[in-house]
Amino acid sequence: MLKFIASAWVLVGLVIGFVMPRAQDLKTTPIAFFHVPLAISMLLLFVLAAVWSIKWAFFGRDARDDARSLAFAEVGFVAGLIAMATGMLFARTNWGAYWSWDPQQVGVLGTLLTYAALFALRGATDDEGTKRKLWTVYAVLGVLVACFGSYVYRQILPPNASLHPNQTLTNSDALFKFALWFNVAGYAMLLICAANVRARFEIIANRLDERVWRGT
Amino acid sequence: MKPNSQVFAKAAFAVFQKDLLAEWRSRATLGAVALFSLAAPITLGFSLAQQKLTPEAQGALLWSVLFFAACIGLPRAFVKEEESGTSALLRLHFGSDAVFWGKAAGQMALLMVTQLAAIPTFILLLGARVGNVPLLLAVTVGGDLGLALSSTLIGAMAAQARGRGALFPALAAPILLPFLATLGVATGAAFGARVDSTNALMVVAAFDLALVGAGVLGFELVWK
Repeated sequence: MLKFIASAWVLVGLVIGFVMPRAQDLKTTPIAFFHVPLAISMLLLFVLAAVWSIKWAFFGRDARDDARSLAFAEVGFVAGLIAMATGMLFARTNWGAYWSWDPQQVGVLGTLLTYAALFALRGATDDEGTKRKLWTVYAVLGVLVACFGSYVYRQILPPNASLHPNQTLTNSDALFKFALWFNVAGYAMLLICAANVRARFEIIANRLDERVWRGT
Repeated sequence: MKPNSQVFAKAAFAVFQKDLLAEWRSRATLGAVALFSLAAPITLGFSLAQQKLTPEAQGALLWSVLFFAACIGLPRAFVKEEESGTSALLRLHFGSDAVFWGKAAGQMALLMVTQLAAIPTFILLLGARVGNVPLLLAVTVGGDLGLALSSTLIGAMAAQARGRGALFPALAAPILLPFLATLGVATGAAFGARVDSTNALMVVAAFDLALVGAGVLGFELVWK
């Protein structure tokens, strides 16, 4: 049921994005209702991936929790890639270049690299127990990097170092803020549904693997 | 009966002493890290001889050199244990906390010894002007602490995967990206850049603290 609500929500959000008033400091607005919610949802999914992995490590070592953690990280990673690509289009229109070493762009790139390394680590470990333990620790470190890279680092730079306008949300029309948070809620719901579907596939794959090992 | 803290300190010191003694006998890691730390500024100085580098660029380059030098030697601490089969003995004799802090102290000592030569060489060859020596010292200690803690935790993880040490730079670089960028900003301030060094130092300290938390909680999971 949730997946139908989420799909309808996102469709309505897309329409709203095209009819909303222009945001402060931006030349083009509709893409903001797609790019920003995806970037926020990416962070949310990475936090949830870390929460599921902590649940696996400290509350029962249930393989299904590890599968959920993997699924949330994978879907978050895909959301991050799309957010990055749309962010580059957004940057080209607003600031004249696809890539301008903006601290926030680099922060998201660093976060995506962290999760790429996390997948590489998982692939390079044979023993299931060790694989899950290493995954847990690195997933928590990944959230740390996401927070420092996306938010803390730009706080130490001079105010004009980032091209991302800081006051857009506070200075824009109230309708703009509503449309933005409406879309954030929609994409977060949709991606959580996608992650749950992916987790189900992973859990089935784990069960099949166990049956093959047992020879049943 | 000794109090727990005394037993822990003694065990951590024993791990630290064992690592230093093993390193002193072979000097393999020390040699590799020291040589890279010296060769990299020479290569940079040679290729950038005619360039006027800003203090910000010098700060960022210094920490890039120090990070890659650390990547050469630091993962060896655990890879060596896995390859020689001594990790099981270490697990039997010492608690994970003692191993973590003993190994981290060993990594920190190794970094500081190599940097005694590497940082002055970098400053000399790349023409950096140190306007604020206490700040440079504070950034170096904060940076070394972060590198030592992260390399202990990530090194223990990489040693248990296929490829062992080869995986370490791929795992450590993204994790340390915001930390290294902040260290570059703070070092740039020590070299004369007009940036707020207090904020940068606070971020370095916060990252160190976060790594202490992640290390204390995560190492036991990785090691056992």
